[in-house]
Order: sequence, then C-alpha cells, then structure tokens
Amino acid sequence: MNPLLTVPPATYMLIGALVIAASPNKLYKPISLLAPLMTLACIWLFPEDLRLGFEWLDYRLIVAQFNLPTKAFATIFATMAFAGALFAYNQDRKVELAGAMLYAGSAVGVTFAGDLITLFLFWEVMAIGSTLVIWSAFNEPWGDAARKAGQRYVNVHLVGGAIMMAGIALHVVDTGSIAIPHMQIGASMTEPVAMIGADGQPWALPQLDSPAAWLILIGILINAGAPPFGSWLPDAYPEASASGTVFLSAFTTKTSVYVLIILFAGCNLLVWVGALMAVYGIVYAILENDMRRILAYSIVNQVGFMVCAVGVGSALAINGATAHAFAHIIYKALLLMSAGSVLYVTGKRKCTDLGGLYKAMPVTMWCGIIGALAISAVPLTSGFTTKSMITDAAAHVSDWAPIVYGSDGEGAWATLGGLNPSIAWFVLVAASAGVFLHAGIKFPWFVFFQKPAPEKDERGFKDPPWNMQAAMILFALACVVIGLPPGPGPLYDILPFNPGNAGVEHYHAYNYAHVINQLQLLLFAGLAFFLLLNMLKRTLTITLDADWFYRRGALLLWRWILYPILLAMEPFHTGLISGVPKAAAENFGAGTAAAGEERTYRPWGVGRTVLLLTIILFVLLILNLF
Amino acid sequence: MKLEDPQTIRKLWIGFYAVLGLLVLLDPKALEAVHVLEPDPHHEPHFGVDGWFEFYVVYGFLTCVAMVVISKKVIGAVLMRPDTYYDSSPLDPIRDAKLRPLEKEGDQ
Repeated sequence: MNPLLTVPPATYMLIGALVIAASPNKLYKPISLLAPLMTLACIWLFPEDLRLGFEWLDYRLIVAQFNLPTKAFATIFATMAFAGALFAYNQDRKVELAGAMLYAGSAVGVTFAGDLITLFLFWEVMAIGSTLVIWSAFNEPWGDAARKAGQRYVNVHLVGGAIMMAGIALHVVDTGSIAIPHMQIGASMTEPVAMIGADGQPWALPQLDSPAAWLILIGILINAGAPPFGSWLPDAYPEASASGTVFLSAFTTKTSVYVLIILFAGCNLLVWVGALMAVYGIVYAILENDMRRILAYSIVNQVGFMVCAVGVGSALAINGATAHAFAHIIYKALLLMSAGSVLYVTGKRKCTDLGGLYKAMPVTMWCGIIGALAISAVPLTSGFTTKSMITDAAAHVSDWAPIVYGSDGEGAWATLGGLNPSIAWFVLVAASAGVFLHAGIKFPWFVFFQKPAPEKDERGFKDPPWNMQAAMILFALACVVIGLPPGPGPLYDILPFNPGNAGVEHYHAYNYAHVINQLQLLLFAGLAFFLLLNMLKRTLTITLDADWFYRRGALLLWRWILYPILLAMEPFHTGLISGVPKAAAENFGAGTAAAGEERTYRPWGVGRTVLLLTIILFVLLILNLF
Repeated sequence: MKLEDPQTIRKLWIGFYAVLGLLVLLDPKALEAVHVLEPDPHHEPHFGVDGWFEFYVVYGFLTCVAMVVISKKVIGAVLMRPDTYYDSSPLDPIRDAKLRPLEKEGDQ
C-alpha cells in the first residue's frame, strides 16, 4: 500500500492549512483547491479495515479508522472544502482559507476518529478554524460586528468543548475505556440499531443515566445549534464574509450530527430536541430580515430533521440522517453561495434592501432557486430522496418507540412529558411544509423578485466572477443528480447501512403517492405564503434569542446586582488589601512599614497573576509527565 | 411578455391555481377510493388521519398559516426588536461616531 495514502486523510488539509498560511504571493490559491482533493482521494483509497493508532500515556489513540457513517460525512466535508475554496478563489482571503482548511480538515478528522480523545481534539481544532473564518471578515463594512460575533462564537464553543471534555473524562473514569461503540442493524430497517461498546456490552450513553452522558450530549448539542444552546449560530454565521459563511454552514452542525449518530443513536430525547429545532428554525426564519440569517436559521431547522432521525435510531433513520446531512451540505452551501454572490455584487444583506435582481443576476438566481427547491425536498431534487427517509423512519412509530408496561400489563408507547411519539411525524411533516415557506420561497422571492427589476440596471449589477458561478453550478448539478429517480445510487452505497455491508435494499423515494403527497404539501404551503404575503413583509427588526442572556442579560446582572454588591464590599476589600498588611507589618514585621516609611510595593494586576499561575501550573503539568 | 407585467402575473396565478386544482384531483387516496389506483403497500397510512382524502393538502396549508400567524402575532410580538437593538449595547457597541456612516451606507 502506498504510504502516502495510509495516513489519516485529514492530514493533507491540515498541512494545507499551514502551507496556505505560510505561502507567499498567490500560491495559496491553488493549494486551497488541491488540499481538499488530495484528502478526498485519500478518503476513498483508505483501506476499509485499517486502523491507524499510537500509544499516548495510558491510552491507545486511533487517529483514523472507518466507522459506519465515516465515508459519507468525510466525502462531503472534503468536497465542500473544495467547492468553498473555488467560490473564494477570486478574492484575496488567505487567512480565511487557512482557517477554513483547518476547520474542514479537523471535521474530516472527527469523522475518522476511533476514540473519544482523538475525536475531542479534532472537535476543538474545528472551533479554532471556524473562529478564524469569522474573524477574517474584519475588513468588510460590518467588520466590527464580525469581530464581536466571533468573540461570542469562540467563547460559546470553548465552554461547549469544556462541557464535552468533562463528560468524556467522567465517562472514561466510569468505564475505563475511550473506545467508541459500533452499530449493528436491528431485525429490520425500521427497528432501532444496536449500539455495542468495545467490551461487548450494550453502549450506555443513549440511556442518559449518568452525568457523563448528559455532559457529552449537551456539549454536542451546543455545536448542533439546538435551542436554547444554539443561538451562537444565527448570531455568528451571517457576520462572516460572503465566502466565509459558505464554509461555516457545512461543518460544525453536521459534525455534531455525525457524533450524535456514533454515540447517541436511539436516544429518544433527541426526537424532541430535533422536532424543537425544526420548528424553531422556521419561526425565527419567518421573522428574519437578513438574507443570510434566514438561511442560518434554516440550518437549525434542517439539522433538526437529522437530530430527530438520530433519536428515532432505526437503520433507516440513521441512513436518512447521514444522507440528509450529505444533501443538506450541498444545497445549503449552494443557497449561501447564491446569497454570498448577491452580497458580493450588491453589498446588501437585508431583504428590505434587496429584490428585483432576476434580470441582473440570472445564473445566481437559478442556482439559488435550485438550492431552494432542494432544501424544500421538491421531487427531482436531493432533499426529496434524503428527507423522505427520515419522515418515513419516524412514521414507523411502533417499531422504534419504546414501550412501557403499566401495572395491568398493558403496553403503551413511552411518552415524554405527555408527548406521544407519533407527534414527531406530524411535526416533521409540518416542518417540511414550513421549509418551503421560509427558505424555499421566501429566500428567492425577497432576494431576486419582490419588486420589478429595472430594464437596464444602471447600478451595474451582474452575475459574479466565473469561479463563483462555477462553484454554484457544480453544486446545483449535484442537487439534481442526487435527486434523480430511482435514487442516488452512489450516495446510497456509502450510507452506514448499504447493500454492500448490511445486505439491505436501497430506499425507494419515488412512488406515485409519495410524489403527489409531497407536491400537495409544498404547493399548498406556497399558496399560504402568497396569501399571507402582507404579513410576511420584511421589517427592520431582529428577534431576540437565547444569546440575549450573555449580550444583554449579563450586562444587567453586572450593573444592577454584581456592581452594587462590589461597591458595598469596597470597605472590606480596602481593609483587606492595605489595612491588614499594614497592621501586620506595624505589629509583627520589619522593613519599611515597620520603620514607619511609606510602602513601596505595587499591587499586581489580575492579568499578571493569572499568567504567573498558568505558567506554574503548566510547568507542574510538564514535570508530571516524566 | 414581461415578468413585472400585471397580465403576466395574472397568468402565473391562473397557472398556479390550475396546478393546485390538478394536485387535489390526483390525490392518491381519492384515486384509490374510485379504484383508479391500487393501494400502495409502501405508502399505507400509519396514523389514520394520514390516510384521509387530501390530508397533505389541508395539513400543508393549515400548518403554514398557523406557523406564519403564530410567528408574527405571538412570538414576533414578544421578541422582535429594532435591528439596532444590540448595536448600542455598552457591552459591545458596534456603532460609534466613526462607524455610523459606514453602517448606514452598507447596512441600512
């Protein structure tokens, strides 16, 4: 086997990130296209049963191995990095591309991780890479907002990472193992998969019966964008540059879906988390005015479908979550490329400023419409063949919903706070209709139509440069190819449970009833949109979200509670830092104070004290290793 | 024929209603009831109501109306703020004397 191919596939993109950062002139541009392609080749040539690992402290770390969903996720991550780099090719965005390669490369790293520590390390590097991408919008007109949003973003993710690390540490203490479980298909496609730990025992995390499980779950859900932890997503993503948001849309939330699949498949709480995300995304997107923030809310909505599928936990649902993540990355990137092109050309972000671009930017418009149709799961687009798996899996309630037996021996579906499991399907179908409402029609309507286009555009707006168009056309084609009947063969072949490894049949999305029902659902949602157009008119508003608590709530807490307390404490504090030492020196000590001279020392600032403590702790840590 | 011509818009509406009417007629459950279509084993109802005539038509329309009205009238009424709400926050202001004109040009 070629030694160049038996390295962790993420290596090429991670090295690429460093080379891009260090490269002189414009050399970084071809590298940004080459590195994802090399990673992609490496993913496909990586031997199925190879495990690359090494000993570290008392653990054996597996830095690369195939888990069941790995191939689909890694393939789309690398493809996305390539398309994003192509989209950004005409702009001089060295820092952004370096950050994006680091970000995408470590996302690939997460999918190949064979143990919890490796997974966590790549998980954290993603946070660094993505923050760089947000911050590299510093020279845009909204650069200051981007800097602030990036600060909030990185803080949320560092806290999320710490929570997840705490969970992993507790888990390792409880079980003594850093291994990740493997999945086995149930009796049929619609029955829950079995999760088996490395010791051959059933994997316990989905039962959520330990603090470790809860901490890991919360850590992942922060990254998945689940409310109330997810407000960082619509806060930060729309503040990146035109190309930056394209990169951002793909990796963090979908890596979370991947990690949920391999650690929490069949955790029924996730059904309701997913349903909440799907509805939340729609409600907020309906109220939003910034075109890229609409699409950011719609990421939460779409990831909600995937999270719900992980909660259902049948083989069909796991396949659906994987396939939907694959298709979603493509059409969401396509929509954001379309929005990014509009932003790049017009410099405007708000629906209230846009509209009437259908003559000036036809390629951008058509690509945006194809993305909008795909996200709405219109037949003949990718969303139809993938989302159908999720709703279909959720519909087989009697196969996946756990049954509890009452005192009379009667079995009944376990409910959560009165929520009958069959409600999940109704929420998903309503959310499917809602997608058409908030993204499928709303995005193209307000951005490209809404008002008449001038015959000769004296503003000089036209389609963006060739590379942006090429990236859009590439992904528009992908949306259609994955959606053609009978179904996406090549994609279905790399799903976790496919004809090759589990002997299951391909899923059939296309039958008369399903196609007609889907069209009925969507077009009558469209009718609702146009009938309620007056109510949907955009206003110059934002909608408060959980980020209010750290953007405003923390400030009020400081001003009205903490600060008054501190003021009240000041006499004690003064006494403590100057009175006590002075008295001590006068009574017991020698030196200047005892001699009645003025004190000559200066108090240290908090910053320097913390720095000193950090250095001491670090030295202790290093010494401890030997 | 121009897209912004009222005549064209009228025609588009007529076409839209025609497609909607066609979809109502083609409803699989209705066709099964009049024996035009065999029941599809891949698509049998799971919950009862999803086997009713025109379930997807009614459900799609009503849930969307409900989502728009609830978003706008309930959630929007409580949580919507002017989009400059956070900009003047003393914690992280992004509009100062220097930035204001920039924001107005690029953002307003």
